[in-house]
Amino acid sequence: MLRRLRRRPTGPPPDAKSVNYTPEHVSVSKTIARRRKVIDALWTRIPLIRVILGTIGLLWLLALPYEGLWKGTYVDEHALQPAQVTMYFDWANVHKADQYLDQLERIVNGTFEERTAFLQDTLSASGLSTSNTSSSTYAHILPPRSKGTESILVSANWISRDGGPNLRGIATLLALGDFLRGQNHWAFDFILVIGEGYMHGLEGFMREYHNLFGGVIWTGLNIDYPGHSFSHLGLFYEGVNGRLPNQDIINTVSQVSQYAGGVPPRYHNIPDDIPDSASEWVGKYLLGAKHLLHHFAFMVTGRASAAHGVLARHRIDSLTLYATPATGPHGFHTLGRTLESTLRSMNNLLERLHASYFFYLLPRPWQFIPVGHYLPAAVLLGASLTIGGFDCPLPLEGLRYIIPAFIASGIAWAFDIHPIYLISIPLAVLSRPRGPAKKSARSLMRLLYGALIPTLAMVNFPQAIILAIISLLYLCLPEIPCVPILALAPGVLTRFLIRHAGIDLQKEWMEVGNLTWPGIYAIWLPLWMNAVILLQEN
Amino acid sequence: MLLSSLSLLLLAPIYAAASKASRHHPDDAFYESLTLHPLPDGRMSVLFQFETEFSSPRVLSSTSQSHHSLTPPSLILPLERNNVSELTISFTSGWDQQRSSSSGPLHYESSGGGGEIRGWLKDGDDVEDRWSAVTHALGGLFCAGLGPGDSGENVRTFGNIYPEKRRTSNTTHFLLSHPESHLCTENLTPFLSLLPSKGLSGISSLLAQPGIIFTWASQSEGIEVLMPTSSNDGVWRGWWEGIIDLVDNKGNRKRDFSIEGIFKKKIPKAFPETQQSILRLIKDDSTAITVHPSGKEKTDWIDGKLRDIVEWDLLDQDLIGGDININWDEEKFDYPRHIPPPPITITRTVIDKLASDGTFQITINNNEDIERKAVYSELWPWWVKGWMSEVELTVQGEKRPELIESISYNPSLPPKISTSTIHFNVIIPPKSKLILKIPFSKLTLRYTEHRPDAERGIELPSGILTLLDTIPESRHDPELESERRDSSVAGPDVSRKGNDARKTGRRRIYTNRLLLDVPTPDFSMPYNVIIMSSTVMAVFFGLMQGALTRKWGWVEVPIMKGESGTSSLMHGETKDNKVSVGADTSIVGGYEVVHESGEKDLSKVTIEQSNLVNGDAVT
Repeated sequence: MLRRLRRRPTGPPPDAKSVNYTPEHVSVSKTIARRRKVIDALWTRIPLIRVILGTIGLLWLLALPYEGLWKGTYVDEHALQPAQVTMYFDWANVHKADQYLDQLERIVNGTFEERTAFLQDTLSASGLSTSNTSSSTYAHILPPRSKGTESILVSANWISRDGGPNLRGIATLLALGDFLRGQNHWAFDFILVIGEGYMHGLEGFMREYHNLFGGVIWTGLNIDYPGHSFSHLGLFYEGVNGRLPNQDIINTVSQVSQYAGGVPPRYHNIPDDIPDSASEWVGKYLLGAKHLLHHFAFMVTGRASAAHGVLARHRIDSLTLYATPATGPHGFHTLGRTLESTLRSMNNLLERLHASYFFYLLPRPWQFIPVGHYLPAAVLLGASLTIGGFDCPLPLEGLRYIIPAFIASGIAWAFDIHPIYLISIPLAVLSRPRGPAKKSARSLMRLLYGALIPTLAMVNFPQAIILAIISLLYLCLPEIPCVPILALAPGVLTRFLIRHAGIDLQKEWMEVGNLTWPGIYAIWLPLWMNAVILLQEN
Repeated sequence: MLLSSLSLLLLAPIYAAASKASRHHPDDAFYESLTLHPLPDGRMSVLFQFETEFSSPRVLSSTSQSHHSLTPPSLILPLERNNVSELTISFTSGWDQQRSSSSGPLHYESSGGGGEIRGWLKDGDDVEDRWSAVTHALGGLFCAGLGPGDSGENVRTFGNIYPEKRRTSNTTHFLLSHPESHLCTENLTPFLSLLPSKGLSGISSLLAQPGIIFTWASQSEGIEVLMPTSSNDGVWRGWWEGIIDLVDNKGNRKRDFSIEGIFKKKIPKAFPETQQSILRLIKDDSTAITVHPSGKEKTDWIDGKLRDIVEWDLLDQDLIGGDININWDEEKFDYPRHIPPPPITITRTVIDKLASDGTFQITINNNEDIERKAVYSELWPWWVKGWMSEVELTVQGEKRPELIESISYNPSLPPKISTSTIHFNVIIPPKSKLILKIPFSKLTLRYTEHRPDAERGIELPSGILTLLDTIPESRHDPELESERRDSSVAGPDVSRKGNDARKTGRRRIYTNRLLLDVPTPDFSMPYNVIIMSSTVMAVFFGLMQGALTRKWGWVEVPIMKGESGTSSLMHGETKDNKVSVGADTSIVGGYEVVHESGEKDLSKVTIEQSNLVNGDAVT
C-alpha cells in the first residue's frame, strides 16, 4: 500500500515498443529526472546559497555577545579543587614583602648586574638556590616532598604591562619565595623568575630553561602589580600566536581570587558592570561585545596580552594576574593568598591539563562560549567561499596563474623584503588570465582559502574570521568596490600598525616567535596579489 | 583448674621450642647506628643503619630446618629458595646536589630516584624465573611493585657497575629500575617489621614514627642482603635516611637541636640483643659545634673528606632516658650565599624538545683539580631510541670525542619489550664542565602501555656515573691520623690536607630522574574512530550490496517541466565550452543525443546507469 502511495500514476504509461517497457522503467526514469532537476536548481542558485551562508555566518558572529549562546564556567579537572585549602600566607609575609619593596625602590634604576645581585642575595637569604641568565634572575625551590620531576613557574617582570615598574609584583614574588621554602605539602618544585623588561627576560629564560632544569613545567603564573593597591584582579590569558591556556586555569584563578582572596576577577581589566541602556539584554550584549573585541584585538595579530604569553609557546598553561591599580582595598595579603591557593590547586595535578578545554571565548567573568557555539560562524563563512570554487573548468591552467604570487611572496620572505615593496608586482604582471583560465584561477583560490578558514578557526578563531572576511571581499566583489579595498595592501596596513598602533609584527616574530608575520607572507600576500591579478571585470 | 593444667600439658612442647628459639645463635649479631650530618644550608641528614650478621641456618643443622633468631624469615627464605647470593633494594625520593655539598645521600648504596632492585643470582637454567620469583616475593613484602612487567625489562649489563661484594663464581647480575615508585608510609611498616627490634626499642623506636619521618626531605630507604656462604656469614643491612630542616622559617633562626627536639622522644632503652648501638654526629662545619653530654671524638674519612666525628654509645645506661643537645656557636643562622659544590655534580635535562624527539644533555662538573675516570650509564625503556652516531661530547664548548674511551650499547629490539642500556667510558678533565649530548626519538607506545594518567608522561631512571678511580675510606689510617694531628698544630692546612675527592666509598653518582612527555592519543578518540569507521563500513556495504543485487538496463528519461529554463541557465554557465543545449533536448540514457544544431551535448553523453527497482521485470 505504501508503495502504491509513493508512486503517483503520472507520466506516460509503459510502452512495450519503447525503451521504457515496464512500470519500473517509468518510475526509475522519473526518479532520475527529479534528481537532476533538484541538482540543476541548486547549481543555478549557487550565488544565492553563498549569500545566504555568508549572511548567516555574519549574523552568527554578531550573535556571539548575546547571552543565549553562553554557558556558565565550571572547573573540569576535579583534581584542581579551587579555593578549598587553608592558607598560611599571613601578615608576617606581607611585612617581608613590604621590606623587599623598600629595597627594590632603591635599586629600580640600577643596572642589570646591580638588580640581579640584589635579587640573588635576597633569594639566597631565604634559603633558595638562585642564579641568573643574561636577562633574568631565577630561583629554584625544592620542597621536601617534591620529586623534582615537575615544576610550577611563577614570574614577575621588571616592567608592568602598563609600562611602569612592576615593583610590587617582584616584591610579592620574593615574599612568596621566602614563604614557600620548607613547606612540606608541595609535590612540585617551583621556579621563580624575575625577567628584565616587559617580556624579553622571561622569553630569554624559557629558551635557556631546558639547559638548566630537568623538571617539566605544566602550569605557570605571572604577577603584574604596578600600583599601590588594587581593587580587582584582571586576568590576561591570551598567549603568543593566540594560544590560550586550558580554561581550567582561568576558572581556577577566578574562583580562588573571588572566594579565597576575596577580590573579584575581571578579564582584561574590563569592568564587569552592565552599561545603562534601554533594556538589560542590550547592556549585557554591549558588555559581552566589549570583552570579545578586546580578545579579538589580541588574537588577530597573535600578540600576547601580557608577559605570561611567552610561556604559551612552551606548552605551559599560564596567565597574568594584573592587580588593577586603585586606592584599595587589596594589597600583598590578598594577592599572596590568591597565589598560594592557586598554587595549591596546581599542586594537585597528577597529569597535564588535557581535557578539550582549550577552545573558548570569554564574554564575561563566570561565562564562556563553548567551541560548538562560536565555530559555526567561521565554518559558514568558509563554506560560502568554498562553494564559490566548485565551478573550475581548467584547474591546471588556473594553477599556473596563481602559483607565481606564492613564489614571489616566498622570495620576498627569503630575502626579507617588506610587503610594501611587493605592491607593484601584481600590477606589473602582463599576462593576466582571461576567460575560463581566470575563472579557474579564482575558483582555486576560493577552494584553497575556503579550506583554510575553518582549519584556522580551530587554532585562532578571530584570525580565521578576519581571513574569511578578507578573502570574501577580495575574491567575490566586483571591480569597483574591490579596488579601494585592495588599495589597503598588507604592506600598507603593517606600516600603519607600526606607525599608529605601535605594533611591530616583524619584531615580535624575531623576539617571541609570533607567527603572524610569516603568516602575512604565506597567506595574506599571495591572496592579495592574486586578487589584484584576478580583479573582476564588470 | 583442670583445663588450665591440660592446656599447659598440651602447649608444653611449643613453650619449649619457643624458649629454645629465643636463645639466638651465638654467631648472630645485631648492630645499629644513627648518624647525624648537618648540611651547609641549615638542614641535617639523618641516617638510621641496622646490620645483622647471621650464619647459614642449614649449615649447622643436621636435619633440614631453618632457624631464624634475628633475621626475618620472610626476607631470607625467598632469597635462600631462589639461590640468591646478593640482593639490594633501594627507594629514593631524590637528592639536591647543589645545596648539600654532597653528590648523594649519606648512605652509598642509595640508588637514584624511585625504586630499584638488583642482585646476583647463582647461575642455572631457571635463573630468569628465580629472579622473577624473588622480585615478586619482595615486592609484596615492601608493598611496592618490584617485579618486571615483562621479562625484557630485566637488565643484565650492569654487573660491572654493581660488582659483587663477595667474589663468587657462576653468578648473574640482574637490575630492575622503577623510577615511578614513591617512598611512602607504606614502606615504613614492612621495613620495621624486618628489624629484630621491630621499632619497639633501641634506635628503631625513633624511626617508628611515620608522622615525624615523613615530613623529612630527600628520603632514602633500602636493604642489602649478602647470603651466607661456606666461608662467610650472611649479612643483612637496612638503612633509612632523610633530611630535616633545623632552621624554623618563622621566628627561630638557630640550628641548635636535641634528640628529643627532633624525635619527640628521649634516648630509648636499648634493644636487648644489640651488640652495638651508636649515635654519631659528623661535624664538618666551619662553625664550632658543642655537644652535651660529650661523646667520644674521632676523625674519619667520609666521602672524600677527613671529618670530625662525635660518637655516643647508646647502650650506656647514663644516656638512656636522657637527651643529647647539639649547639652551634652562632647568634643566628643565615643561609649562605654560596654553598661549596661536591667534587662531582651531574645533572641531566632534555633539550630540543619536540613531541617525538629530544636530546639528553648530561652535564658533569668536575670541581676538583684531578682528572677522573668514570663510566656513565643510562638505561632506557624500549620506546626511547638513541641516535648513537650523533652522540656529542663537549668540554667548555669544544668538541672532545677522544674523552669517550669506549661505548657499550645494548639496544632494545622493538616490538619485543626490552630495555636499552648504554655505558660510556669517559675521562673527566680536571676543573671542567663536560657536556654529553645524546639525541633520541620516542617510539609510539602501544595503546595498552599507557599509564592510567596518560598525560603525565613517563619517568626515566636516573643516569649513573660510576667512578673507577676511588680509593677505599680506610677507617683507621694511622699515618693520616698523625698527619692530621700535625697539621692541626700547623693550623690552616687542615682543610686542604683532609680533602681527597677520590677517597670515598661513593662509587656511583646519580642524575635526577626525568619525566618524559610521550605522544598521547586522545583516549576518547578510539570510540570516535570506531563510530566513524563503522558508519563508513555500513555505507560501503550498503552500496556494494545494492550494486551486486541489482540488474542493469536502459531507461529513457523524459523531458521535465522547467528543464528548458534550467538548460538555458546551463547554457550561460558553460558558454566557454562551446556546447549548446537545445530547448527540446531529449536525453536518453545510453544514446548519443544529436541536437537540431547538430552539435554533440558533451556534458550529457554519459550512459545513465540507472537501476531498476525490480530487476525481474527486465528480462
